[in-house]
Amino acid sequence: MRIFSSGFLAGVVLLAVVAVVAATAPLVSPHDPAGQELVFGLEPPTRAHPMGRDLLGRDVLSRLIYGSRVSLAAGFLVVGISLAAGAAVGAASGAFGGRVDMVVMRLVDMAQAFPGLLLAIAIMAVLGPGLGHLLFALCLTGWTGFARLARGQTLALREREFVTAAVAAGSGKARLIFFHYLPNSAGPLMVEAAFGVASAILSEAGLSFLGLGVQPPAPSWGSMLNEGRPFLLVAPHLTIFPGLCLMALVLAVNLVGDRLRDVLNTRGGR
Amino acid sequence: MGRITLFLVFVLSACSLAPQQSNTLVVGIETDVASLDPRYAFDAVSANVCRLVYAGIMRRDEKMALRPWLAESVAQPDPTTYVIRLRKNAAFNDGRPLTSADLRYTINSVLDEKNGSPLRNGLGDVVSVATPDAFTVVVKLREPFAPFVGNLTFGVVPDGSGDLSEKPAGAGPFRVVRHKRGAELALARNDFYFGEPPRLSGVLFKTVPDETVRMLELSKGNLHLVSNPIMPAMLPWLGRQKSISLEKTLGTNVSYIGFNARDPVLRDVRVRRAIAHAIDRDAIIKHFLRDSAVKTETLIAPANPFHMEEVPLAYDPEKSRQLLDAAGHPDPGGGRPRLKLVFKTSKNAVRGKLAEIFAEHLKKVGIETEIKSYEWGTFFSDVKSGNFQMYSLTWVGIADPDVLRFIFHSKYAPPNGFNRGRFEDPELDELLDAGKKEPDFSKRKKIYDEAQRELALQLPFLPLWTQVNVAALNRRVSGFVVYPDEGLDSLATARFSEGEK
Repeated sequence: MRIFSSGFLAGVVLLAVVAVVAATAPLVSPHDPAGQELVFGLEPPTRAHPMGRDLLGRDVLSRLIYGSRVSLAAGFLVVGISLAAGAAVGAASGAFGGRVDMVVMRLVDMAQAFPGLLLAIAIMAVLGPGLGHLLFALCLTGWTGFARLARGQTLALREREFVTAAVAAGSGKARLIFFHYLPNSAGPLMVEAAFGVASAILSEAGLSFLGLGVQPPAPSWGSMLNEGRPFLLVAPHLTIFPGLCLMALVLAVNLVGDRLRDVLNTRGGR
Repeated sequence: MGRITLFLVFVLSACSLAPQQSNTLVVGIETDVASLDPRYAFDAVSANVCRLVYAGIMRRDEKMALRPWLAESVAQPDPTTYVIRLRKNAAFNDGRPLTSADLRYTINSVLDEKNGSPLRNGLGDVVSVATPDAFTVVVKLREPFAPFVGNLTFGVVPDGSGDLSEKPAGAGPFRVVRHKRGAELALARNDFYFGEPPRLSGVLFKTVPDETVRMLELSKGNLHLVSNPIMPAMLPWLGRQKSISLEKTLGTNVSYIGFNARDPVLRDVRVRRAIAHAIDRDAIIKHFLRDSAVKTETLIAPANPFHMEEVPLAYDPEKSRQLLDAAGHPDPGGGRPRLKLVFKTSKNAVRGKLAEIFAEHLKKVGIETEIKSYEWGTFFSDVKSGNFQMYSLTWVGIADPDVLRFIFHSKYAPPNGFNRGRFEDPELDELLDAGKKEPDFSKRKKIYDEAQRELALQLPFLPLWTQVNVAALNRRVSGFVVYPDEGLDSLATARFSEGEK
């Protein structure tokens, strides 16, 4: 099946746009995202400020541009770290089996017994608010899914003939993990990662909405939504634009993820 | 959860249209009452409800003037003795007469250290409470304590009553008929109230956590009254609603920035003054607070007779920079900050925004401010334990200036008092000790003028402004006034205008 489809292309283009904008934020943002002008608080969209201004008279567009950095960092960094850690632990757990597997999987069970967002909130309560802490908390709750998936794949692969052949040829556990189990689990892990990005972006927005993420005055889409909430009646532009951005970004990631899943055919089995 | 609450609100508001409740006024509140026991009710909502349900010896009227309530008279035969004569027709809401035994019990339970009532400090050093007859109470103090009578405004509870936080029993104009925690608190007229009976048959306090929902419910007529907190930015919108009128009264509250006097940087008064000169309060009041506040230079609000007009600390960034230079924080150049400070705030939306504005103003004189926002419990415990550099809060309703003693006297660091910044100034200590004992008003005023001048010089707090208390009312409600201390006492005299139901 060809990977390119209209949805996939739309997703990739959107992601690319967001990535470029985030990378060049200081160049493309029309105003200082922290520059206050109290006189113009809650000003609706105008030509100079196409998305209006917030309560403190800051340009909403510029804040959205800077906020995209946080969202992307949350999405890709968290999933990158979780994927690396989770896949390694999961594959090792599957490869070694026995007591190691038992202990690791019970740990995973324990971590998964808590609702992810709630666990992240608990971790944030201990560490205190801040972007670094937030990313750490999301990683800590995010790796378990990958670990479970990698282990499952490894268990299935363990019985395959090419693995038996590798073992007969004298491959050690480490070699099996890095040259056979992980490369052959890459498809499902990729798909899981793609959807993981979307959910990490939403988790970051959710936690920032609760005030646990980036600390003011730095902008994040989640905290912008929260800041606009009391003014839905008088200044809806404060919530509409961050909401649209968040929706578009998550949609883009999911479009890409959907297509990956179809192409790699991880749903249907063999 | 939020959605469930919202749903409940709609269901409940549909119920309130039932005819037998048509004379019930519905008040929208942000959070439910914490306690219905007047000895422990200190958050704004709880205190306001307690003043409707319990009667005190004295009360303050809408001008904050002290008036007898349960008392027929309070005499002071000598500087350390007070004779309180109770009115003979007062009764609790179950019809039982209110006598000197109830008052003695209330005073003793407030004084009992085990009970930990915050009212205890307000009564001075009580030696004995005697009840020569059923309607007379004689209180003897160890030494003169000027604020004594002014502090007798707390509600009197029945003799022998334990914890009343869930089953209140008072002698005020209303009684509690039901309380669904987190949802609604219903009051009905107390038929045994000794004063003029309320015109309303009841008052329903509905908890509506979201401000936007409160505003919409108010404009639809499902709520009749919403008072503080109202976001200043909502005032223009409220002003445009045909069904809503706005009542405004200058408050007795004072918002301030608290400094930690033990902090190596902020210990220097020049740094504190530099911060004061760097913050453009006029601009904040005009544009952010939409003129719903008045600049003030002391914690004693303008409506208080002890308020002293002090020369305002003007917005003057140049002077601020000079002070920082003098204090040993020169401009390192290259856009780098002269010094870094941490500003702690609660998650309250207005306060968080104010912190951002302060940070922006301080940046202009070279002070980099890191804002840390915490949920209320963590924030307040940090403030109490002195774990902060700067924070901002509001003192609500200081009536007697003796409160300054608990805020700034070196002896009153928490848990003994509220000197959270651990400020120490022997000169001020002396003034505050003297003010506590001085019975003569004009002499006392001189002492507190001096104390306020000293505070303005030393700036352990930077007083910012006094906010106007705003109540948004359905136009059918008449006879309601906002008290300067945010009290809802006038619900006892409010009514619905006729013929428009």
